[in-house]
Amino acid sequence: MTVLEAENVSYKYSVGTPFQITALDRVNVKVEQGDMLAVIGHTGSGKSTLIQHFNALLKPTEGRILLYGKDINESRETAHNARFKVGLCFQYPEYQLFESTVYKDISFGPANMGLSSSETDERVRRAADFVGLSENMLGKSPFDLSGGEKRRVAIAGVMAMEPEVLIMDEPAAGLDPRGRRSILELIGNYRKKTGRTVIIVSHSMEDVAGVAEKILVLNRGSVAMHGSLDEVFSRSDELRGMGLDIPQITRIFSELNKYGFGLKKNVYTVEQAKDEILRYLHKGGNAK
Amino acid sequence: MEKATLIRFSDVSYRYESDNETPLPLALKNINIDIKKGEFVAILGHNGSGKSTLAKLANAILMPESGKIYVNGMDTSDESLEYEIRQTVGVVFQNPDNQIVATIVEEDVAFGPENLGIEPSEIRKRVDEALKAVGMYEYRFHEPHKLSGGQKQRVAIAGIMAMRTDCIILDEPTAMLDPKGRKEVMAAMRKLNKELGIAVVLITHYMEEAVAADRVIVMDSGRIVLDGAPRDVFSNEEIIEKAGLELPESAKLALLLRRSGVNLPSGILTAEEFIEAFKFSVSGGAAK
Repeated sequence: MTVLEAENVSYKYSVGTPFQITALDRVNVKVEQGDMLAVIGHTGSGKSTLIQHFNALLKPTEGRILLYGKDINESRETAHNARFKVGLCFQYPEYQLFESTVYKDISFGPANMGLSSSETDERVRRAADFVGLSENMLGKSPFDLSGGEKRRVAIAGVMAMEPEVLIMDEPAAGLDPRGRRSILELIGNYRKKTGRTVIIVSHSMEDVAGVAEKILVLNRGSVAMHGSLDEVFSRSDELRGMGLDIPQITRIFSELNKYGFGLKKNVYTVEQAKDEILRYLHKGGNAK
Repeated sequence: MEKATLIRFSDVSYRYESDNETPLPLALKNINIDIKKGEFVAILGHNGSGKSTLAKLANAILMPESGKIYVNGMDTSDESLEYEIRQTVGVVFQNPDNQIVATIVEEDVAFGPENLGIEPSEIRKRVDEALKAVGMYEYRFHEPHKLSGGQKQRVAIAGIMAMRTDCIILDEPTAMLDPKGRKEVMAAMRKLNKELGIAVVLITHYMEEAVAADRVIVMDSGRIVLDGAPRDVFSNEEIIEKAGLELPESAKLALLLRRSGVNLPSGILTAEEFIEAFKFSVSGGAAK
């Protein structure tokens, strides 16, 4: 079932000036229920613009955004509802924390949805627990937390709204390798546990390879590819032409295969690579 | 010939001010570093390990609690030298939004050299070169605030490049860039370093970028735990892990395979090295 759909969406700014820019150009995308989708594209390709359309923060210049088949910009009310059903976590969300306590910050979204205070309380605790913030942190000022913890607070705030679609713009940007890994694991677990639709925007092919099941590639405001990891990462030359790449590990495998090794092509992470090489060697790859 | 020291940290400790009576722990503890003229140094460390603090101390934005910092022999605690110190060491920070000052890209890049009182024709030359080096020349008449994050970051880098400082410190300059943008910025850094002899200090979370440096410094909780050539630093896998970091992907794959009994040499850091070693040990070495 399709949850979100961009139907022939174009978005232009500075219309009528010499600097008119078409940020999105007739974009057609269907996001299916339960998708774990990564949106990739060069800087300025329209990724952030597209996801801001998905929760009605931006309104298409042309075309429609459909949530469960209904135009989210039909009325002020439908646009308002879309912001709760499609939760958007911006880049560097920790800069948007503003409340005096972690608890208040996480509860801001659900409280705005008009939920009862007991329901809000339940959701705040559930979300905090899920992102790994302990009970005693809830009373602290978010500004006393580390960068990684602040980001978890911001993410919990969006998760506590329990949106049908969770969208995260560069969720791991600026984090150290350990923080990166744990945020990506968190997103994977969220998806497994809730079965809800998750969309992430990322510049790291390695991160995409570790967490996503489908990839949407934007290039100069248009959809260039949309498919499984295998479908997208098998088009490495085209990706490079768009300022993107394949994961480093995948590149190693494709180089090795040029020398006649019969390794699987669809290997994207270090773990998969280790398993595939061991399989290959046990099969007698080194006996030649 | 021993190269002259450009930046010297002599037993430097630093502590951020607390907003209550309990003092914060030291952000940097007894740091000793010599950055030589023309060196390319990468600094790694977990979030909050003190990397950015180091950058701000080198640029006389912060003053040490104890110890001394010398830039070209100038003591950074001497306020009368502040201007000269900043002409020697330029810093590009994480968030380009805080660094853009003009309304047109090329004016923004010209801002630094204009303030140094440089001839207009020379400024013109530097601005064009810097914009080309970061791949933003075609955007020279655009408005910076309408650029994407990655594009803004490249403009900020061009702004420092145009000042022709002896040393550029970059604090995670590629965190928001796409793979092509990262490659372009890295290439620009190398060009600056190799061709113009400018010392580059690159603070990064990307292990692959650190591999390209002449020297890697690893910070952990305000201390330097490793300092040396990339190959030596990344051979200390336990210290790297403990510092919240990871090995570069190719190095990690090689290590996992070696632990599983595959005959690969130690010291593999890049994809190219992995491919060469694998070809040799699997079809050549082990096949005999």
